[in-house]
Formats: sequence, C-alpha cells, structure tokens
Amino acid sequence: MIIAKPDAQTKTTMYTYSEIDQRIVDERVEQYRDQTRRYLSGDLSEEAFLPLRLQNGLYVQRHAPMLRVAIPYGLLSSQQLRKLSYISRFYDKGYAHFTTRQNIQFNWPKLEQVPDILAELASVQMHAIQTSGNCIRNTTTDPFAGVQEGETADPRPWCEIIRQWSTLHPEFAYLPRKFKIAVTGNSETDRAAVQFHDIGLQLRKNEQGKTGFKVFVGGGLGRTPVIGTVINEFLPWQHLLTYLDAILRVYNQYGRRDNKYKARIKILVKAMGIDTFKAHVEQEWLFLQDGPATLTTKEVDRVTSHFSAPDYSQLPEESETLNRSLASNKGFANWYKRNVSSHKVKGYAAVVVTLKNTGVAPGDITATQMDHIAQLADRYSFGILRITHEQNMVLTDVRKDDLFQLWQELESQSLATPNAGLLTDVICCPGGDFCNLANAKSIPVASAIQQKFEDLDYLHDLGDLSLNISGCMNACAHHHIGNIGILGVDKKGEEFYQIMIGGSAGHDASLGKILGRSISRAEVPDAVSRLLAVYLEQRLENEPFLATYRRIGLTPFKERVYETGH
Amino acid sequence: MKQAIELTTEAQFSWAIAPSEQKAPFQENTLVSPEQLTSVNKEDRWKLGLITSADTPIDSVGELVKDVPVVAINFHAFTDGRGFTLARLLRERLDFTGKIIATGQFLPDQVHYFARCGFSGFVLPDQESVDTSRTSLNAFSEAYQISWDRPEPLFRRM
Repeated sequence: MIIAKPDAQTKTTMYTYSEIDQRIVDERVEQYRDQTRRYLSGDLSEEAFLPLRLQNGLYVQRHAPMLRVAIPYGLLSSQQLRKLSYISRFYDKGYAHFTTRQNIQFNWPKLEQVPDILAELASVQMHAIQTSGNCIRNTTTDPFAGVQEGETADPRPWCEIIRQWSTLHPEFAYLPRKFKIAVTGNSETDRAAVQFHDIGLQLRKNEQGKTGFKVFVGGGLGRTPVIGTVINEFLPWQHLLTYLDAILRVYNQYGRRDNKYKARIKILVKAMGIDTFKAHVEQEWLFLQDGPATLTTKEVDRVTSHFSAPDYSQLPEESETLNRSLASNKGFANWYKRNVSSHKVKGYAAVVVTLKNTGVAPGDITATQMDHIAQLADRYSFGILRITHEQNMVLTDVRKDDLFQLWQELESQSLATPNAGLLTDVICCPGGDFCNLANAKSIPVASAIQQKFEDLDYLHDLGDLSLNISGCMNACAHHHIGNIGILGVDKKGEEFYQIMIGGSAGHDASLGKILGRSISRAEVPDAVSRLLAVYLEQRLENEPFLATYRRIGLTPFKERVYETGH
Repeated sequence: MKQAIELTTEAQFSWAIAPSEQKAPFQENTLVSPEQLTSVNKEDRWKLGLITSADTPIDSVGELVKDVPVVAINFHAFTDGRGFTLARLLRERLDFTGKIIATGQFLPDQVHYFARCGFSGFVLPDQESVDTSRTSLNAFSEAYQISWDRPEPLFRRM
C-alpha cells in the first residue's frame, strides 16, 4: 500500500498513518506474536495471557476464538475492506460481522494465526488494539460525519486525535472496566448515541464562535442503563486531552474493582454524585490544564487536513436521470425513500447499504459482498465507506445521477433491501448462537420478526422504528434504546424474552420501559404485531412510534400485548 | 527524568521487607509500611524504603515519601491499574526523584507501561520473567501520550 508521508501534499479523505503511526502498530504486532508464541509453548499462563489477548481483540467464544478489529470511528477505505474480505476468506469462513460499535468481528480465526492476521491488518493501517479488555475502546461517531447539514464541526479529526491519545495509553490499560467514548458534531441529530457512553462529546460553538465540547459522563447501557450527565457545558478544544486524562484518572483511582457489575464509570458517578465527581475531575485537571498535552492549532490542523472533502463535481441539485428512474421503478423508489439521504453538496446523496436480509444474522457480510461493496465504493463514492452502529454500511458521496445504477448493482448482490431505519432493520447481537455470555438466542428472534413483517408497504407505513434485540443484559444490541427493545432472559434454563418500548438514542435520549412479564420466543412476533397495532390505531398524522408512545404512555401497549382471547 | 531501569529476581533483590508486626528500629535497606515508617524518627528514615499497596491514595503517603529514597508499590493483582496512576502522581505531582519499584503480582508484559508511568525497578519471580520484562521494555520505540519518560506528547515532538 502507498502510505502518504505526513508532509506529502497528497490529498486524503481519511487519516493516513505517518511513519510513526505505522511503526507503533507494527511493533504491537510483533509484541503480540511473541506473547502468542509464549502462550502456545506453555511459558505464559492462561490467566496472564488473558488481558494481553483481550487488548488485541481476541476473545475465546463458544465455538472458537473471536477477533474484533477496530474500524476507527467507522471509517474504512475500499482497500481496507478488500483486506477484511481477504482475511475472512483465508483465515476464517468467508464472512464477518459488523458490531454495534462500528467494529468488525471474525468468528472463526485460529488463535495461532491471529498474529498473522494482525500483520495483514497493519499492512492496510488497521489494528485490533484495545477492542476488548478493561481499557479505552474504539471511539465511535456519526456515520454521516462531514456530509450532512446541521453539523457544527466534523467530528472525525477529533476522533482520530482521541484514537492516538488512547492507543497504548500507559496509565489507563488496566481500568476497573471497559471505557467507551463517542463524539457527535451534529446538534440536530445525534447518530452516535453520545449520552450512552462512558464519555460523550458533542462539538459545539460558544457565543464567541469558538469550538469546544459539551461533555457528558457516566452514560451507558448493560445491566444498569444510565443516561449520561453533563459534566462540562463547554470545554474549549485545546483542553480535550487533558480533560479526558483528568476524568480517566479519577475513574481509575475511585472506580469499583470489587464487583465487575458495578465497575463502570456510570456507577461511580451515581455513587459520588455528579457534583463531587466533577470536583474531583476539576481538581485533577488543575494540574494538567495548560500542560504539554494541551492541543495545538498545528496538530489539529495536521489531523484535520487528512479529512479533505473529496473532489466533488459541480452538479445541479436535481437529477433528471434520478427523477425518471424514481417515476418508473417502484422497487428503486422504495429503496430511495428509505436508504438514500440528503447531502450538503448539490447533486450528491448518501446511501445506506443495509445488512439486514431476512434469514441472515444482522450485520453479517460475506467476503463476496465485501469485495463487491469495495468495488462500488471505488466506482461511486471516492473509495470510502462508513460503518454504522445500526450494523449497516454507508456510501457517503454518491452522485444522484448514479443512484439507479448503484441500486441495480446492489440488488444483484442482495444488498439493496429497502429497510434502513425500518422495523426489519433489526439491531441484534450474536446472541446464544455464538456468544458465551448470552442467556438466549437473538438471531432467530430477528429472523422470525423479519419473516412476519415482510410487507414493504406496511413497513414503510410504520416509518422510522428501531428494534433492538440483545441476548443478555450486557446489552450489546442496545435494547434499552430501541423504540422496541427485546432482551433474552433465562428462566430456569429456558429462554424467555422481555419486551420494552420507548427507548431513544438521540439528543432526546430515553430508556425503554419494560411492558411486563417475559414471554416465550414463539410469542415475540405476535407481541410486536400487537404493539404496532396500537400505534397504528392511535397515531396522529406523521407521528412516529416514539412520539405516539410518549403521548399515550405505556398502558395501552401493555394491555394489548397481555390481552388474552385473541 | 528517565532513570536506568533495574530488573531483579526476588533472590537478588537487595532490600528486605519488614513483616507487618515488626516495630522500629529497622535495619538499613528495609522496606517498611506507611505505619511503620511513621514510627521512625525523621532523620533515620533515609536508610529505609516505603512499601505500599497499589490502591494507596496519593494523599496518604504524600508527606512520607519526602523522607525516603525508595518507594515500592506492591500489587495484589496485576489487574489493579491504580498503581499506574500512583506512580505518575509520585513523579509528576510530588516530584519524587527516588526509585519506584514494583513488587508482588504483576506481569512481565506490563513492564513497558509501568516504566512509562515512572517505575524504575521491578522485582520478578525468576530469571525468565526478567528476560521477558526486558523484551517488554523495548517493545515500542515511540508513544503518543505524555508520561514520565516523555514529558511532551508526540505531536509536540514531530
């Protein structure tokens, strides 16, 4: 691969490694190769190897090890996607799985081959560093960053700055528990769910027009879902890293280590109270503020320069070609309605490629599909892709003139399901089919729902509706923030499902409320159907599911679901 | 200020650790607990070292470390990351310039991070761990963040 030198004048639309960035990742591969060798030869115990492999993304799962690879803030080049495709073919079973944190997982790698996989990744400027373990994880952001209206500032450079700061941070590699940071630059729509992260950052401008961050702390899902609390209304950008250091240092010292279910920062913030927690952070920050880790304009400019706008053509806002195809092709029009969204540059659109075909685990993608999408990205979208926390992909910069042709090509690979943001765009964890932690299966529930609700007109009529299914209370599929959330629970060795409604991941963040007693797997599709019936009967014009629920409350839904004699 | 890193096996370690029930006076080159050190006359403390656990709040030893040339941070579990913060605070906040030694349950593979946080000595169970630790120390030639060994972040050094 051609690696742009930091001083080169080559224009890039995503961050490219400097010689030092590359060296750090290469050295990490060699370090892990040696650790794996020692483990396999018996020199390193299971217990000692555990944190080392976790911090390189390797879990040991129900059937085989699982390798989680970081896709920093969900941004991927076509070349990197081809490498992931190659890895899935050569080292795995020809497919991979996108997660709800914009990462990708390989379900069947061989432990002894993982160092080679990491070396393959390093060759395209990727890694699996800190994708697991009690450390700072991959930073996530809005998959439409940089291309949509309503953005205060582009979050991607800040995510990259955080990536570098968090990578191999010597002080915070053995935290009480994992630590997740998300950034949004959009004040209208939060597509990064920042209020459900250990730290959430919202870019904003103050009255003087200066850039900074609204900082949330202590949000999260899992066993104890909590909406983050504002700890700083406006943190000037220069202080980002010193302030993060201060928060992490307070957490590292005071977070509970005696009970892993009470070890996340959200529990600490609740226990201390936000005022005391903030006082600790401010006191710590006094020592760090304006110190050498204070960001410089030069550094922010350097990183920002990597995220140049691609070479857009001057196009008219309206596309005749597009309008003609929309009028003549119902299938294309359906897809356009759901999967295409607006773009700040005239004549362009952003396209969601949903990985939610009925019968396939949500977020799963085959090697052939990866190759195909890589080719489409090259042909139609400047060779860049995004991964969303809904486990889909986005081609962010497609000419409206090309949409019909792109749709046809996606269709041929079963990648044009017109369900972005609809009920069947299910967010789902691997569940009991793959995961050690799960109480219940989640993929068959997703499939059963997708099968029951096949009628597109019905789905489009329902409109925006998020459905999240987690196989256990660790909540990898974020069931608390689905408009409809489903949680697998274990009742005396049998799989049951708890239903909740009213969750939202956006700026209007809310947690779903549990309807009542849990139900069997066979009953789930019917329960969803009853919820939807209540909504359709009660909604006002143009009112989405969430708004209807907020207006009429839980009771009508609850009564219908548990009504007998249907 | 970077110090030379010393890796020793338990057998070679030149300091004795005082049993918790022992009372002053202590022999030279003995590591004593904060309570034990408090009972020693200030002018005699320079011959001793302080040993404290990784979960010790910095404020509780802030005064004591001024009188000793060595602080040993003892780990009950390698997962206890508080020791990293404690070492940085000793170095960067209290300007402790003596030796900081890691003892107890930690992994040779963690030594790289420890050294970056200000540790300058490691007591390891055997020669094999010493060799592994040496490899760990040299695993990385660069780092992004500020730390005790690099007072400036990479972006200010580029």
